[in-house]
Amino acid sequence: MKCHEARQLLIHYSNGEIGRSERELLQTHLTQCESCFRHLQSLSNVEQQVRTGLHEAADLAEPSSMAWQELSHRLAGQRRDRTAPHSPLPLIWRLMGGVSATIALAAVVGAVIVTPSLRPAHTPLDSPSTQITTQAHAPADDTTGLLSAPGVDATQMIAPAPRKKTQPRLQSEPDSFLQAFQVRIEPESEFVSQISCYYCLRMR
Amino acid sequence: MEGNEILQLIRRYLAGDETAFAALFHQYNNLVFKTAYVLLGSKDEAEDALQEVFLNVHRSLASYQPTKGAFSTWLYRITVNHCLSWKRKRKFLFFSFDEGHAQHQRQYQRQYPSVELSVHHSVSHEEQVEVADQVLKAMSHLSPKLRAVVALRYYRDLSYAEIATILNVPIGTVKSRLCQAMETLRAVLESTAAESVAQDLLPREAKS
Repeated sequence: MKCHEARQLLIHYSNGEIGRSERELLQTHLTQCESCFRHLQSLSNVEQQVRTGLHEAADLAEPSSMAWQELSHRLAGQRRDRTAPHSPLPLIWRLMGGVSATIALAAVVGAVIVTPSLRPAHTPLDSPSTQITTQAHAPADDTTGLLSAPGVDATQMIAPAPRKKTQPRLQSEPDSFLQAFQVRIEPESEFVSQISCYYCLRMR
Repeated sequence: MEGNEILQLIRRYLAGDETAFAALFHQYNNLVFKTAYVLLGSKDEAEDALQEVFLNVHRSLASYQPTKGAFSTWLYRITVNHCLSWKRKRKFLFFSFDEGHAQHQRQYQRQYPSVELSVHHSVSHEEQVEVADQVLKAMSHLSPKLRAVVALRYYRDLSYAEIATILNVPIGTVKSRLCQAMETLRAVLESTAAESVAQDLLPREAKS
């Protein structure tokens, strides 16, 4: 037997998990090879240390005294879930409800965005959400500082003011779709969105 | 408690007696928790494993077949599988070893691991903590599969055949994994011991 073959068997020899023929061959080798014999001693020490260390580690660790309470609580929860009554509507109807609600939401939002004439003629400018929306989208190229100057209410310039022929328009018609979108998002459409989302969630 | 008593508990549980499941839990929770702790190296994770393993047992106890092996073997398999799959899920956080409890005890003399130190040998609490720390740290150098073989062999003292059954691999695989694992552990533990000996040989001023 060669040393590299013996090294593969040493740990199993030490564990008593080796066949008779292999054991005899290994024992013969060990009587002739001091290096392999030292390796065996070293492995035996490590085995002993590992065995001791794992037992000591396990002795130092105890499961929580609340483990059974937690488990029984979780099992009770699972039982409740199994026995809970299902929704009276079949799945297909619930799905169709969700889909139709989504289509309705898309239609309302699309109509509000695309058709400026659908917007209310007068928007309450003192609504906080309106102010936040419009201020956030103030034109980025305001190099004059006019819109951000103190005392100047930017919302009044961007939001649709009551149309009076005498009043000069501070903001021309939106020249890009993006700009139009930013300005047209109004509290009314947000409210419709919220209702639609709520409806979707309820249906599911 | 193994054999008939366990089978009776299982039969009672399957007939709808939930108190039988509580009895099973109290009988085996230590075994599951400590095996998971040795495999995972973290008490918190071992607590989670204990919960998950018994939830699994509660779900699948009807599938246990006494003719195919002891209940403890079946339980070991569920525990080891859970720990291995947990390791796969968080492969970058291998072996989150709890070392806080040993930090304050480093001043105690480090000794070369010797054969005199055995399970039955009377050791102080500090030595116990030190040995446990060294071994758990060394185990962190092993892959989960190698660690499972080492834990089942040296902590649960199972035979190669039992380990092969639990891990669902041939005995030859158990042998090769154990050989590889022990060579790694030998290298790690001996280098750790050599470092601590060198540290002890340093003059006191140099250490501080």
